[in-house]
Amino acid sequence: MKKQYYYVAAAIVVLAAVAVYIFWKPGLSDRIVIPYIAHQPPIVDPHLPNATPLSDKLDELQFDGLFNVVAGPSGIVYEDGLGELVSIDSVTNTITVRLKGAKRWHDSYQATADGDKVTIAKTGDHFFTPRDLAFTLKRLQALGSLSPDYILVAQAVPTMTFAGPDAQNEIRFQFRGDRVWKETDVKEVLSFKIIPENADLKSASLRNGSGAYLALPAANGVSSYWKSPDGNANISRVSLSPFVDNSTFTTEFRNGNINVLLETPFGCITPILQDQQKFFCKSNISTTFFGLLMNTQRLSREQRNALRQMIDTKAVVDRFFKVSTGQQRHIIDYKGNYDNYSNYLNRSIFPSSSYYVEEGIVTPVPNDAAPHLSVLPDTVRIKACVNFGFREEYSELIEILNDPAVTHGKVRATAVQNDDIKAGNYDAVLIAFTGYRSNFLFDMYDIFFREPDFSLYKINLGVAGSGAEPQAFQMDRNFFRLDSQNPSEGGDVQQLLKYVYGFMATSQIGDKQAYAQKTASLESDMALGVWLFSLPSLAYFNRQFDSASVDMYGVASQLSTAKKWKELPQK
Amino acid sequence: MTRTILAIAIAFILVGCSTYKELKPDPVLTSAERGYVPVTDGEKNFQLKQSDKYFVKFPRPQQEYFYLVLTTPAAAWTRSFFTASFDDGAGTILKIKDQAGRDSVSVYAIDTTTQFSYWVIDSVSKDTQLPLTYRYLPQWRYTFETKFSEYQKILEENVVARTIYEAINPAYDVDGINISAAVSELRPKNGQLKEMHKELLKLESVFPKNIAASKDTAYREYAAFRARVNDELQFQSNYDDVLSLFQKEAETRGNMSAFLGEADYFVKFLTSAKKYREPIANKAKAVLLARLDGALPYYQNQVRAKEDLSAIELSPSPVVVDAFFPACETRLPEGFGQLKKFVELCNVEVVVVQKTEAKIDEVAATIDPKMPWPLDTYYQDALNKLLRIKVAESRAAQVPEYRDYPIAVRLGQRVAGLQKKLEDLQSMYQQAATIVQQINTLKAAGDIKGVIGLLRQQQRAAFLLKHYTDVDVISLTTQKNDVSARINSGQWAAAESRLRDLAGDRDYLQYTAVAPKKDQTVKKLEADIFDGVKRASEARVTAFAAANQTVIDDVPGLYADSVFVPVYQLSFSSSGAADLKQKRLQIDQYLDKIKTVQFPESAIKAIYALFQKNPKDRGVEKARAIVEHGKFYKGTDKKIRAIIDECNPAVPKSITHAKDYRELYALPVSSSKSGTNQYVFRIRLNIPSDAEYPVYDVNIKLPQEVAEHARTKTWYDEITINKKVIKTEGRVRITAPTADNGYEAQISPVQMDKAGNNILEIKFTYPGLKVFEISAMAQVPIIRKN
Repeated sequence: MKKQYYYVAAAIVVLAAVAVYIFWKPGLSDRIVIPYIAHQPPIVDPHLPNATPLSDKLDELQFDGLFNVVAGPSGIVYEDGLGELVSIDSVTNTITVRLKGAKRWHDSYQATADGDKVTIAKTGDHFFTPRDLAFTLKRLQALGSLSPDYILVAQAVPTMTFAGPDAQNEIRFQFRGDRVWKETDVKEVLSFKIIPENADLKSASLRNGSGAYLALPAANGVSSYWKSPDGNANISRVSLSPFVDNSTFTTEFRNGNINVLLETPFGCITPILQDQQKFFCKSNISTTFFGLLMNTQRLSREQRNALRQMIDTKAVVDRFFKVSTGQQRHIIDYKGNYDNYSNYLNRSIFPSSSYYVEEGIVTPVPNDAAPHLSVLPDTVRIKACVNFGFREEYSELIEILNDPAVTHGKVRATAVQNDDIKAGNYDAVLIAFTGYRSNFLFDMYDIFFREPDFSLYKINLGVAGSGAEPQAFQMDRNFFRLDSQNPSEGGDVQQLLKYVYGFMATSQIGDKQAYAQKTASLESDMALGVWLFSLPSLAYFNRQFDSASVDMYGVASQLSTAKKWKELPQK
Repeated sequence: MTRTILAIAIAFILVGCSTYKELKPDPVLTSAERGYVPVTDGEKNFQLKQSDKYFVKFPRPQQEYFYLVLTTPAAAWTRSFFTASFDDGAGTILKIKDQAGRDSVSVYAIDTTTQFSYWVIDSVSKDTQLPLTYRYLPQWRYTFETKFSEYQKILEENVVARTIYEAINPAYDVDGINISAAVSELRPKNGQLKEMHKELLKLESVFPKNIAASKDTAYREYAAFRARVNDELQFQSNYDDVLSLFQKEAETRGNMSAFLGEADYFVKFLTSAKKYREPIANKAKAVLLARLDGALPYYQNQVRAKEDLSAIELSPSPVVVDAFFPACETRLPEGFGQLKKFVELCNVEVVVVQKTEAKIDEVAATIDPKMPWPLDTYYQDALNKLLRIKVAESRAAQVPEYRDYPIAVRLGQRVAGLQKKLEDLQSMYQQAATIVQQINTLKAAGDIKGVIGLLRQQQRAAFLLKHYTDVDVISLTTQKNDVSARINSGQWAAAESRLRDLAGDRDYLQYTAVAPKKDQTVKKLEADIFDGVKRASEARVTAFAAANQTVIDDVPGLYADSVFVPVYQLSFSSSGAADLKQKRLQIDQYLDKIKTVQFPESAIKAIYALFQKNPKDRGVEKARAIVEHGKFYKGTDKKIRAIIDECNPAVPKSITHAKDYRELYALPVSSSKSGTNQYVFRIRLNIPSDAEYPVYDVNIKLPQEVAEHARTKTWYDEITINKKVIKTEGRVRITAPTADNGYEAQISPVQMDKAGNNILEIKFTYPGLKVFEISAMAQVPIIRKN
């Protein structure tokens, strides 16, 4: 009995605490709160892609380029960042940029956070200098094809250098003479983010920027952000809120624990957020697609082709979005199209949303042939690791793939631990590729050279001379278990290596297109993957924000305009 | 009055201040000749004071040539001089020489031209008296008185003994006289006497005019002395002559030449024999006449020894014997007459022979054996001169006594030889005159070959060939000029025919000598014909090209014109068929070069310039004419090729640099002047790129008239890249040219072949026949994030 009293008392205390939390919890006013999966903290490096989608978006908060690409009400606009375009000499192709020497790096201030109380104290003046720019360019050159920014800059300034500055703090870039450089072209090329010359490159995340928000001291390895005293952000703070996985994001958003949800489960319009009085959503182009990467050590090319033919991706998508059911997951794209599921079907390694498919550079071959099921093993073992994001999507897809109506009873899909994946214990692995770019800079390294370990993000690229080292394709260093020493497919593997590297490393648009075609074609021949579909990208915002201040357009980063977001006056 | 007193006082002061004080003797001095007279101041001698200066005035003598003799013992303390003019020491003082030269005696030649002469004491070393005497006397007297004893002594010491002289007679053995010793004694003494004799003659020159009539003792002594001197001198002269005669005779014995060389001396002695004692003269004649016996043989030997044909010059001249024999009172022997006659004949004939030969030689000298091409009169004139020359016989060779003498023989031979020489020359000149006239006649007719033939026949007149050493060359030159004239007048066939004849011609006096030159000439003429044909062909085709370079109608017809073949087809070469072929090829190649390079080049440039200046003025025809010229053009000028390509719509226009606009022409490929035509332009995109698969955006600026309806109607018929049709589909966009974009169409992206064979062809139609100016550019698209 006495024991029962204890239980009742404890329950009362918990309820009281919950009540206090509910009724007296701190508000999210003047704050942007974005969720992330706790064990996948964002790693901020403006020059390298990361598997965590949020990572690349946070770049926009923290760093400036000479010019910043932002989304505006009418589309993409270029704003002056650390530079100001002075002139373009169309004869000599000399671009003159005046550097903003009055811009300070964030380490000019010391930020301390005590709970919600943040103190920004000026500690000195660390101004932006040409050395910072030179340092950044040098880093891009060292990163080479790993960095999309390198590709952008190298196509115009192959030397990755500049002359100056002169007395007016103006520097001059010598652009290539193979085109007429317009102002937008120049600003596009020079929109790479700049880091200070004293940046700690050994650190996973680069913390010292010059953007609208400065990073507060990290808590559990993750920083929140406070508007820079030198910036012009409207919202004071950007907080990153950790959760176990993305399954609770919607609930947390609805409950007001977060006020910005950059990705929704299944990428769909969520029923629980239908209250437009409280929330609004903004769509942009897909950045995630799902694929089955087949283990070339376990499945022959014939089997892989059979598996690819066997899986009806449209059926998978229909099942995934529960099309024509009462639980249909509705979607909307940034163009205003509703439930256009087929637009998200992918038929090649290049997603249908990508520039290469949209522009017809890559023309996927329709997968209409009848599957040769007889060549398949009795059971094709498809595995997925659900611990590194997209838990709900993976679970849904596993269920679909196990459905004999979809895979003819030939597939056994299971959720496994990361070690199983690392060990290559699969015929195919189900993977969500996140943060892919639908522009020219589609990341092929992420697909082919990523270390088969979800706990880290490592690209296995070695460069020798003008090409990639064959070691990039060793079976234990990629999800496909491709191996250039494979006696049966080694030749194609090496050719694939050449194409992938050619695609990624070139700054020539023609080469980019040609290698895209070659890669897609060869991959199609080799039947390395079943390219399922892309996930719609839909972001939800709490109505505390003025929807008119939140601009998202096409491929522009979702947070590129965060500093312009405004709150509506509280009623 | 006061002034007068003052002037007197000043004069007194001035007198009192004179430098020299005049000593005025008392009694006054006179110039009469007498003994030494004291000079006193009354009864006393004058007193001289130390450092004072004095003078004494002496009157002029009564005659010329007088001495004033002064004696004074005070000379030791004084210093004095004598002068003809003195003014208290002022001005230039001419001192008269003291003839005595002793301290206490002074002798001065006193002048008769001035009233006074002055003895001046200009230095007195101590106060002293002046004991002084003076004497006026003639200079000869003073001299004779002072030197007479000396003269007497000289005479006495130089008298020569007269023993030998007095002893000589015809029987006297003159060889016994020691002539050398006698002469050695005689001549020095004679010299002493002659010197003294000169002084006496000098003394006599100052004798007064009337001295001979005076009874002056001194003069009488002088005259006696002088007579003695003259006698001794005459003797010594005669004695010397006699000694010399015998000495010369003795010294020339055995030497007739030397003896006869002294003939003048001997003759002179003999002709003045009266000066000597007669026995001496007789002795001399006898001695000399004996020696003259050897004179004639002596001269004959000289004549006999003469062998050359020069004048005989006897030494000494035989004239000397003409006077020698008479001087010895003997007639000249007859042999001397014949000798002199023979010598005279020889000497005359030698000269005549020489002059005759000189005349012949003079005429011969007028003939230059190398005189080129002599006139008709050249030899005839010389012949006429020779005919006027006569050669006389030798008379000397006919003198009986001497005709065998070598010189007589030689003279005879020389005259005969001269006669023959004259006759030979006359004959030769006669022949030459005839041939020269014939040659000149042939030459005047231009018949050089006839000249050569005539000369070749003249074996006996071979000397004439020297006049015509250039006949072969003239023959060659004549032929050469003939060929050259035909070349110059463009008679190529005739010139070549003559040249062929010349090449085979061997008709020359000395073919071997002329052959190299002939070959050289043939080569030269060959080259001239070649050059001429080439130049004429060049000139013709050049004129044609200049006249037709802007012709745009029927261009192929221009190239079919005959100007592109040579004006004459060469058919001969001395070097053979290969050379001929080479030359023909060279001309052909030149013309071919004109046809395929230069003409099309110049035409293309000219037409293109007109085309560019105004493409609307038959621009299509001009462009097509350029293309037609281009079909014949084989040159390598890239600019020309570029122009041809520029005007040829079938040829793609290269764009080799990104972003640079390139001008090009869109030309019709059909020819409807009033209807619709199809136009084509092609662009070869060959832009270096680092890309393996380059792509470009191609921008094309179109004329408004082509593009102005592009909004409503497709402005092009077809656009292809490497014959693949480009359409607006997929990622390919063809932006319409509108007024908003300046009628600039863009085709993007255009996938290129890296090798550069990217031919973008655009066809469109337009209702008209004209040239459109298009501008195209390609640039690389960039990779964008967004």
